[in-house]
Amino acid sequence: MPSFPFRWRRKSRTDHPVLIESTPGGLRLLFISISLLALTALPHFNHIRLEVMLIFLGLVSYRGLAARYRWLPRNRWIVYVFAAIGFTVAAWFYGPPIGRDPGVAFLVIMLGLKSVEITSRRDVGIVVLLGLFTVMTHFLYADGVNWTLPLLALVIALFWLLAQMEHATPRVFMISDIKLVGKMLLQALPVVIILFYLFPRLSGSLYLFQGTTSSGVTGLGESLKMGTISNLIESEDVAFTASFFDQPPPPASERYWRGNNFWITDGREWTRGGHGTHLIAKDRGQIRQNRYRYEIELEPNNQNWLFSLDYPLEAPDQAWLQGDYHLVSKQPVKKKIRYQLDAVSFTGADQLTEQEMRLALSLGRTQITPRLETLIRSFTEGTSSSVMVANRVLQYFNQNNFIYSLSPPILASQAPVDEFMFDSQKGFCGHYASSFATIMRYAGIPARVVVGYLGGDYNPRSNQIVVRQSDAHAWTEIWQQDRGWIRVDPTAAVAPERIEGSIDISSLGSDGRVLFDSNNLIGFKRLYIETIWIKDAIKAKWNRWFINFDSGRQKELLKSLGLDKFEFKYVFMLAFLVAISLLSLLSAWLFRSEREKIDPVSKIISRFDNKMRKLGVARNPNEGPRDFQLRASKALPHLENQLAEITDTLVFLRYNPEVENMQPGNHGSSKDSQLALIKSKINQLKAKQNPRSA
Amino acid sequence: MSVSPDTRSRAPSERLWTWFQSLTRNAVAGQDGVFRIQGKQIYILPTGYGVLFSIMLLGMLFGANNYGSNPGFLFTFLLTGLGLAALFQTWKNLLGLELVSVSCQPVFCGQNARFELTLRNPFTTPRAGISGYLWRTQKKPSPVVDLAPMAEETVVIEKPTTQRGEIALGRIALTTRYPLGLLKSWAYIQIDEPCLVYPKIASIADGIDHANDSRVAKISIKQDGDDFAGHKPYQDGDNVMHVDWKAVARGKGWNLKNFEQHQGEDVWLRWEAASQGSIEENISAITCAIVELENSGKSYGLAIPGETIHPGIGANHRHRCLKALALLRL
Repeated sequence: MPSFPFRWRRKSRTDHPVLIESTPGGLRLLFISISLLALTALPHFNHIRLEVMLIFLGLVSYRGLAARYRWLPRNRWIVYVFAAIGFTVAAWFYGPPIGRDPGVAFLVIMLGLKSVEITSRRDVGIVVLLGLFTVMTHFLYADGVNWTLPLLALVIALFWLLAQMEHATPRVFMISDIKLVGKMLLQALPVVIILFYLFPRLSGSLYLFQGTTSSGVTGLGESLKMGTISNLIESEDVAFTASFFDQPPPPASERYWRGNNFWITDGREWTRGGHGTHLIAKDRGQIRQNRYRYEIELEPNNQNWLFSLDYPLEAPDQAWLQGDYHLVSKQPVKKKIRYQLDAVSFTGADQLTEQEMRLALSLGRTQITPRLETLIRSFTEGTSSSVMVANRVLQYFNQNNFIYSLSPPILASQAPVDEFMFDSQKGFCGHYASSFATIMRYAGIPARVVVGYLGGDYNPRSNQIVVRQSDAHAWTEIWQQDRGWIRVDPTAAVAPERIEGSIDISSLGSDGRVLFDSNNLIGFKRLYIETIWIKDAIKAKWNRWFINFDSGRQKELLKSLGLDKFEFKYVFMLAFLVAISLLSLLSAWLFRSEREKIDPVSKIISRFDNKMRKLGVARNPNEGPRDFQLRASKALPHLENQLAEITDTLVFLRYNPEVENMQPGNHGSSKDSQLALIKSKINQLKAKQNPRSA
Repeated sequence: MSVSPDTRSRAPSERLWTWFQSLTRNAVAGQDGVFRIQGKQIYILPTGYGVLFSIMLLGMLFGANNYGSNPGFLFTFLLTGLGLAALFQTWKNLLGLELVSVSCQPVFCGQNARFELTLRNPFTTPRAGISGYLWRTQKKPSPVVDLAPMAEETVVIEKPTTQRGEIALGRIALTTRYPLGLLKSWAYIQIDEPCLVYPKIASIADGIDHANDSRVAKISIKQDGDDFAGHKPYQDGDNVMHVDWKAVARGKGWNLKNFEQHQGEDVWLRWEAASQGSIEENISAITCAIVELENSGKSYGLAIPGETIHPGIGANHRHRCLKALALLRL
């Protein structure tokens, strides 16, 4: 038959690449890859809409079924139709793919579409990349961390899949590939750690996307109202964590965390209003005694308050220090922030401006009933000392039937202070503080209400105090000419345990009193507390060095390493070099045994070959040991016996399956001793016959 | 690192390549003739897939930063670390690998010479995904092989042939993308092991216009005679060389020219009898005759300038004749 010169042309336009499921081992590979893909997206089930997730699962199952029944339409339009449906649904629910949730929804759709598109092994690679990216998106959600271990397993599996695709026939190296990926993870470890801590962190988000949304946590109220019950008191949420440097925190009775000062009252409600216009005494920085340095990590509270242990010396960068010692954040605290402070327990004698004095004595529209007025007169009778007056009030609280209660009756009358003092006599800190301040002001003593937190759980293992919303507290300060502001906590007169130690709020009934003195615990309870402390200390470290690590922490770290003076890029380059060297060292250690594991018998054989080559008889690569022995014996007849012996032993060591089980004494000698023997024999081979034996 | 002396006669781009080649390292054979790949002889670069992977890492970094997600950072850096570990692994996958031997069966000119490279893994851990390719000329590496611990495998590299004689494989590279396909490492080896290329076999297509049959008849001076003994109808399985193509062309149907051959009589293929065309054409014609005679089971001898091979038959004889023709210098 006539033929044509272009007869051998191989490619034609109708050629398709071979479908992966038609290649050896390909079907299995395909099933594994689409299952892994499905798993990478599944933890998103509570982040994205069910419809999107169902479309994704539908696409993946479609590909699986098409592979199973060897039916995959090669028409591109099928994929286009799927893409149109998928993206329309995603756009319907999410709008354009900008931001986290829409982005994830579109990514999941893309993942499904790409899995439909898998035809060759190359496509599997692309899909693995998309899968890895999907894994990453889980960590953009707060609950992503819970999936860490399964996701890590998934990543190992995805990398295993990549390795499988590089083999001539997949499956052959299943286990060794898993082992290899494991080793690579170990190798990667130093790089991961160093990059994590030293890769330049930017503070704030880059263009285009919004950062984390603020979580609407409510802090203390902007005002204190008598007769209303705050929910905060029962909340166990953490308000902030204070870490002390170098020295233990002040004693429990001194742990008053100032939030705000309330100056203005109308008889029921106290609000701030104080502008703090006066200047803070300049010499306070010189105060050395009872000085504490600490760091506060404040949970978002959507307010402008920063808390501080009485009294802060200077404001941190992100805040102003007001004249009445409370800190005002420049911006509402919408995400977790950190600041460091110096605290002193004594302010020096501050002087009040005229305006402040007026404010600190003003009672506004407060109604002072006759019986209250009589009571206040009895406090001030015969003394001009404001401290004395204060003590009398506290005594009054203590000796009468006042009760500390988290659920006091509502004070409905027009004079809530009167109603509290004479009728209900039941209340929590807010009641006592505002009543006390009102009484003080009426008695002519400047006073204000301070709100903040009291106490907190001290963990001696981490030297941290965790302050919860349930530690919210209100107390008062009175002003004395020669001493400045003096803290008076009227609640202490009623419920001293509220001040002196932590109370376990959950074991405290609505009216109950529970003492919880952690220093006197014994036995198991002590052990239990100790365990909790250690657990919390670890968690604190974890939070400090992992969860909350950011550009600020990075600066601290560099400073502590003494690297803050250098430009960051040099630090980073240096760190990267260190990381790479660590990787190399780790690799060398991981694979240390491999060289040594070169089969000792092979070593001896090549030693023998080298020796023989020096003697002028080189073994051909295709020559078996017996053939070589015959040829060598002809060339070097004087070595005939030795060659025969060496070859016998080598053949035995090489080909006898029992060699591996040989123990000393079994065949007279172990494998090692035989090897040593043969080695010395090979060394003794000489080119010329020994003249003596000739 | 062999630089050919005739550098000047080459095109500038060719000279550039030669210069480049002189800069790069080859793995060299040890005393025992085995090529062992050493660390400094291994080159490594990212693949297209690896580039895609790093772009994805940048995207992840961007995301982790925007959402202030430390687990996200950690994950991104974990993948980065794995990529760097892959750098090491891909390099190590070639390290210490041994090229034990190269062999090649003779081919006819125009066919691809198939060089079989026997690789050995001297380690107790597997080496996977290894293939080879011809430096500069071969775009797609040959199919990969996996080497189990202490095992040998064969990688085949094909090289097209354009003239008879001997062809050396030249500079090849052993390459791998294992384990992740993010990077490819390779090592150059200069292989001078020759492969014998028989002369171009005059194809059937070539034979038609020149009346192939007559040429065979002319070349093979009949001693006592293959006598033309008329036609017989073509049947499946008959030697197509015996088809009377001229008759086919004239539309007389497919018929075989029937030669009557006396058993034991030898055919001599003589150079003088074939000196009609160019030298290469004549060599091709004789080559074709040898193949045809061997297939038909006839004993044949070869007489060409400088060599006379007495009549015989069989694979060895055929090889001797074809080799003589392949190496013929006039």
